[in-house]
Amino acid sequence: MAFHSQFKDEDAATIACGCAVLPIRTTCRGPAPSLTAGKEDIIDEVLFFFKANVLFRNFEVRGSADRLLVYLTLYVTECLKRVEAAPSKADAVRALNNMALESFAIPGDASFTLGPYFPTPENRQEADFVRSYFRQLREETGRRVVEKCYIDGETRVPSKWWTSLSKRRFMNKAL
Amino acid sequence: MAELDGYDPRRPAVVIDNGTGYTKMGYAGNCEPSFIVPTVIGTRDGNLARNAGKAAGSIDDLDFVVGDDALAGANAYNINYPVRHGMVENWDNMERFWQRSIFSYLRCDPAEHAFLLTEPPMNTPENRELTAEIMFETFNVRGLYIAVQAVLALAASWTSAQVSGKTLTGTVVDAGDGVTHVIPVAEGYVIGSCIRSIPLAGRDITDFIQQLLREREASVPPEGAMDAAKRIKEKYCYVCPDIAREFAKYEQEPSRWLRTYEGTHPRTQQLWRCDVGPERFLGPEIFFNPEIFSSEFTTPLPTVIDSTVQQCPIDVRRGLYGAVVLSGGSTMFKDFGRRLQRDIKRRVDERIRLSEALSGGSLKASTIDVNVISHHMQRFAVWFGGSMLASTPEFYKVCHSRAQYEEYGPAICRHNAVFDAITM
Repeated sequence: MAFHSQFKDEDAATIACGCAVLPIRTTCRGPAPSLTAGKEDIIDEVLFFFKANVLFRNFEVRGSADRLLVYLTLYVTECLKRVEAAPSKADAVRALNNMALESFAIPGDASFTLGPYFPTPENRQEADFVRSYFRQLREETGRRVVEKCYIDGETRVPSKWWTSLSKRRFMNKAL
Repeated sequence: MAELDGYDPRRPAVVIDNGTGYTKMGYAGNCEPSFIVPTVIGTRDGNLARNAGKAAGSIDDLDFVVGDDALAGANAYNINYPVRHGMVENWDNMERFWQRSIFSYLRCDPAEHAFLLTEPPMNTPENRELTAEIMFETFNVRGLYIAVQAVLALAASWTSAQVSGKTLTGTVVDAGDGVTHVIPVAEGYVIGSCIRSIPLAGRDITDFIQQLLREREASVPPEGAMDAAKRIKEKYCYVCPDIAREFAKYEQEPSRWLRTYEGTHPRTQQLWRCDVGPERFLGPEIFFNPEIFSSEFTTPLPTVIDSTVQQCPIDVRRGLYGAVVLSGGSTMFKDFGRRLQRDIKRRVDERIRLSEALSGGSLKASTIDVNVISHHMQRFAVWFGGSMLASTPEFYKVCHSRAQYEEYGPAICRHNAVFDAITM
């Protein structure tokens, strides 16, 4: 069985579009509460489970943190695709930053592939909040993926243990 | 009843286990089969056009090869697998295969030895008659006993230090190359209605490893990929308790966990190498999380075993949980038994907890022991069990003798008495 998030609904500051708004450890600007250094956040968890979860075709969403896990796992796959295409670490950082900031679909949009799993935002305010929260998560996730992919001072060739997973489709979906 | 005279150390019984993939044969009392050959036969049947120019005087009927020779000469002969899904399908070829097994591999005079053959659970009595006819009429064997493979696998588990009593009750998990069976056995009798099979086995693990390698390692030549995956499976694979943690271990200490596989290109003979990473534990993981490999079959092996036992009569269930016996090459992975035991135990405990909760605390169930039994003879468990049973004096009491056959005909082999475990 695939791995589920250990975060509970109680850990979340609020819940927007069915997603827990959890504290994250980041310097990126956004609405998420900040977490003291040294503690694990949802992005750490997603990266920890990523290699295992990406092998699974079925996933049962059990809570608001699981929705985030699904979204971020699929986002990591997108990151790996960009990393694979980038000629060096600096290029990968730039590519991931661009991807985080370019316009993207959020729950409720017609082009959002995870539609059935996320409730649509109730008003404009909630939609804007989710958009900025997701942007913050995307930016921070991108940064951490780069650090995972270039290990041991390597700056040109990303680790094959990560990039080889870019073709796998978690839940048979892609963002 | 005419009995065979007892055990004679100069003429031990011959034990032949004809599996779908491999035939294991040897003499009773040994702990390993003397020969393990693919159950394949190559014949000249229906190949007349090709043989037209052959020297006169050669007899086509006698021109056939078996085992590895058949596979090596695949372009000169018609290849046939006489055993399909554990059952004999082509009796003419099976007879020829036995002929070679006896005279060119084992090199014995069948008239002087008793034979123990094996059959899959749910084999038909007619098949036993046919087997008896061939064995007594063609080979004139001294005695014949046809044993059920699952029962022999149970008997083989008596060698394990985990087993205290010698009972013939237990659940046999037989994972070979093509298919995996879960077979409940109660006091020497297979509970036929509860047998379950799983379309995942050794070959699928090989396929999965090959797929993982293809996604990551560019250095693996496509021609050699299958062979490499098979060797990696046999040499490096193990079962881990938790795949996410295992991945983390590989990230933290790659030097400790990664391996290198070296192979030669089958055509150019060039040396190539590739890294062996998470496929070490992901290969066998398909038994516990079939979802990662197959989209059609997604029930984990522990769940299948648990539901098999739940289907069985209630009075044997404890015994079936108490002895889950492993058999076949695909159960040889390190810690396979331990993981299986943990996962079954979890389901069983959860069910007990649930029923206690439903009863509102008025019922207290005693805990159910789940034991998965691993032992050294796992790979040839069926053959070894046969070797063990056929070396006892008891064997000569249950064995059908040539005199009986001549008196009553092949029908006597329809039924083969269960060994009495107590006298063992």
